[in-house]
Amino acid sequence: MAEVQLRSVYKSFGDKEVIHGVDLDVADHEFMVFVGPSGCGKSTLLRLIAGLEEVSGGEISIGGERVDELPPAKRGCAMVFQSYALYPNMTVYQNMGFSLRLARANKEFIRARVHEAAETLQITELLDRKPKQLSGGQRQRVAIGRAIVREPRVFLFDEPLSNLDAKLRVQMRIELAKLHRKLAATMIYVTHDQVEAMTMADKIIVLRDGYVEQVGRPLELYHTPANLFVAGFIGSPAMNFMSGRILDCSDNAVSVVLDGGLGMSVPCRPKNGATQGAPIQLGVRPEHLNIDGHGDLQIPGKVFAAERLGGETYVYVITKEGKEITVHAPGDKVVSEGDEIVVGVSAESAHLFEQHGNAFERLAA
Amino acid sequence: MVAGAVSQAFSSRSARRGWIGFALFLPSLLLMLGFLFYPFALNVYTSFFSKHLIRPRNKFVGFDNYVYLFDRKYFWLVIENEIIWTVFSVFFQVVLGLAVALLLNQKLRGINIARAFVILPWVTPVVITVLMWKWILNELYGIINHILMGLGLIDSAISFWSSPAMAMGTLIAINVWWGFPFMTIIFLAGLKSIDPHLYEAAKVDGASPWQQFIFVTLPGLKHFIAVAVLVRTIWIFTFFDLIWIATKGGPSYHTTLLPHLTYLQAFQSYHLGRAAAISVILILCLVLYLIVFFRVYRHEEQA
Amino acid sequence: MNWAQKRKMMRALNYALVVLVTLIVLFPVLWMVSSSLKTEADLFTLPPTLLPEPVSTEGYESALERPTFMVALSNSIVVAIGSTILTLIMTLHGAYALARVKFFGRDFFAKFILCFYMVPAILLVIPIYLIMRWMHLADSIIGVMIIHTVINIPFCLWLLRAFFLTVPSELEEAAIMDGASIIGAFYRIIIPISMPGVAAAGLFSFIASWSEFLLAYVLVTSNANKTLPVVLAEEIIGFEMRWQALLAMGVIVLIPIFFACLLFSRYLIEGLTTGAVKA
Repeated sequence: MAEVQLRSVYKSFGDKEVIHGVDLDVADHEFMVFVGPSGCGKSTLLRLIAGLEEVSGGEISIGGERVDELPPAKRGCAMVFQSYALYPNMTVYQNMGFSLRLARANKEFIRARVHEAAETLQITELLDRKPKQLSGGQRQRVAIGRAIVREPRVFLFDEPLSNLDAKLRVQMRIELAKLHRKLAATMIYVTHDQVEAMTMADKIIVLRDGYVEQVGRPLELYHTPANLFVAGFIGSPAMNFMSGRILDCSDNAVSVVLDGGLGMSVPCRPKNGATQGAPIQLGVRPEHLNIDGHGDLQIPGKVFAAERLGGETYVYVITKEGKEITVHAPGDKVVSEGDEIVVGVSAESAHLFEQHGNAFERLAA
Repeated sequence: MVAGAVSQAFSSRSARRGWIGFALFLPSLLLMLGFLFYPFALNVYTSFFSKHLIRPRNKFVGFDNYVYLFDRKYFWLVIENEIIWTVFSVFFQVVLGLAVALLLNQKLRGINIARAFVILPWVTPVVITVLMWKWILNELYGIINHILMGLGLIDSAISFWSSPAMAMGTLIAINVWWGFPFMTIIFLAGLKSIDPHLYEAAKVDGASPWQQFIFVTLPGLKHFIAVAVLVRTIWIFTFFDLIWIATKGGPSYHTTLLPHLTYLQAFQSYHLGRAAAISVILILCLVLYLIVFFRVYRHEEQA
Repeated sequence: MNWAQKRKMMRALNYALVVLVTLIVLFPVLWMVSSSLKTEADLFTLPPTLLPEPVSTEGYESALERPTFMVALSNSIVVAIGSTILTLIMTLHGAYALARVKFFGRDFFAKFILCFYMVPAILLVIPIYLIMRWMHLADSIIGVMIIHTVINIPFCLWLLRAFFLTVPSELEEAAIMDGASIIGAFYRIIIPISMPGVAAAGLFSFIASWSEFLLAYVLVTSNANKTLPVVLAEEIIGFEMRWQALLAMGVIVLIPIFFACLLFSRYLIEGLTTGAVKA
């Protein structure tokens, strides 16, 4: 069993605290993704688990065994680095077998393990090459192979795809997902790319400035973001936000009036503090808006740009109040710059966030 | 954060591990302190004493050693020698070094072989340098005299070491030959660091090769020239070996430098106090030079 | 002449210039080699001949028959190799610590290494003589070896530190994850990767020690402990120069450096520029 548990983990560099008490449970066999903007502490958190950095406070355990006092190699983790970190002086074979050699495994055993891993990744014919002779994608496979050979309890990935070109990245994403199913190992994966997070993860943890913003399955984060930050970070293009005030609230709905005077009632459970007149943010994803004016709220505006991708079109609208809104429209809709249109919003698709950014629980989702 | 990672694994797992790092460095540090820093300090201290190399005499005499030196005529001659020797050597090393660097910076087949050969003077031991130049410049059998006479440039063989001016000139020439490859190597690195697009842009703007040199190459090399001049000046100012082996400072102090004076006071007059005083004067000269150098350099940087 | 022809001409001229300059620069060396292979009579013939005719090894024979020279040769080999090994052992570890391990005063030391490097030998020669005399190492090749090590340490520390700083720390982290200790990662990963730097540092130490004159000259008094530069310098300074043997000795002293320099010129240049440019 290889579940990973973090209990109020703190980390400071000098007197600067960068991780502020993180609690986290990664279940056995789970594919967990740490996501957040750069500098949010996601890499640091991974390195704490790996043992490359030491915790300043709190506990880390793997498979029920406390590991934060153990040296990296004793924790049963294998890591794939962003730059791959292949030893340039060794062949692929030596690279992959290095950890076993250090552990004084016998030669036959090393050979069997390395070949097995190489077959899994289809890099058997590269075993005698030096890293310099490999392409980016091949290096990536070797780096993963080096991790597999150790048969670790937990795989750690530190932005492993960010040095690959876009096409290769998509391909490797799928292969990593396949590998996860095949090895049935616990994997922790760090990325700043929310698309990678959404497509690969069983569970995502969103971090900001060393705090956990939300933990959940990809679609949970998409449909019920806990706060403004998660709502804005997950989903592409990003959610539109409009500010307004609370007009009235009941147990299962809040009516709001937006800054321009338009209003609607959103089905949700208001939190305490949701009083009349309190400022709120209304959020709607581009894909939940339409440019036909259907729905509970109609916002008139002017198209200032349209990106036609063929199958779909992103329409950028500026409202009378000068607010920019992104709307996702089918590719066959005819719009052009300068058109006056009405953007339609349905109440069920809207998210409400109180003044501190926390979401009201949605009833429609 | 990244740089800290390995040191983390060292230092903070337990304080003991931080000491391993220090322990790795300690032998080097101790040797440097013992044999480089301590001697340096000892020099300053000794310069205020009348101390004999062999006899146990050690008396505090204040500035007497300095006064003694300032009273000697040859001391001022030595200072003059230092200036001539250093200025001309550095200047010609820079000019020749730059010219050869420009020549070797071209993309030609086999240019790397030429580069390897051109470093050779710089790695030639000074003793050998003096030996071969003494042979070439030999008054009777030297090839240089022979060639010059053959070309009809001179009537009788030149004695390169006899007159003070001639001796100094010859020494500077040898020093330039020996030291210019250092400059060439630095300047080659500097030339490599200049963005080739700048030359293309200059060419498109209609700059002649000479203008390209003035407006692209020289500004690009400024920093490298400054570093090379700084390092070499200190080096040449305190350079003992070449002159000592070639002329022993003669004829009569006309090619003597401060380092030779130190040596003579210490190991021929056995007067350690005065030798130390000369060392201190030498240090002060260098400090003065560094101050002026950085003033000028900073001024240039801002301009 | 059209443009293409003109370019070709320029190219040929350029080549000629490069070859000419190289020959002029190397002339003293070539002339010494040529002269050393002449018979004593030919050496002093006027006008001098360009190439030795006949080739004679008289000079080399008389050089190798001289006990002082042979002793100095073996001393120099011992001192240069010994001090190179000592320097590398010290500076490999020291430079790694300076580059990667945080310890008290590290950044201060890293800066001051260069100051140590810039200290001219002449300032140190008297105190070092006194220290060595006090340690009873003044007139010994061990003493010379130690002092050569000392003067080579600052530059090699600086050079190797610069090399180690270019090795990505992820590589060491990967090795640590694979179960290597810090020291193990250093020996198995960092040193093999930094081989060009190690080669440059070793070469510098060797050449510097092989050529060093002043300190050896001051420290050593008995013939049994003198190194090559000292013995040769004394011959040159001495009254009567025995040219034939001296020129042969000169060639013998230059040979190891010449080959090292040609074989490793890339490392030498790389090392020198790393050391000098970042200064």
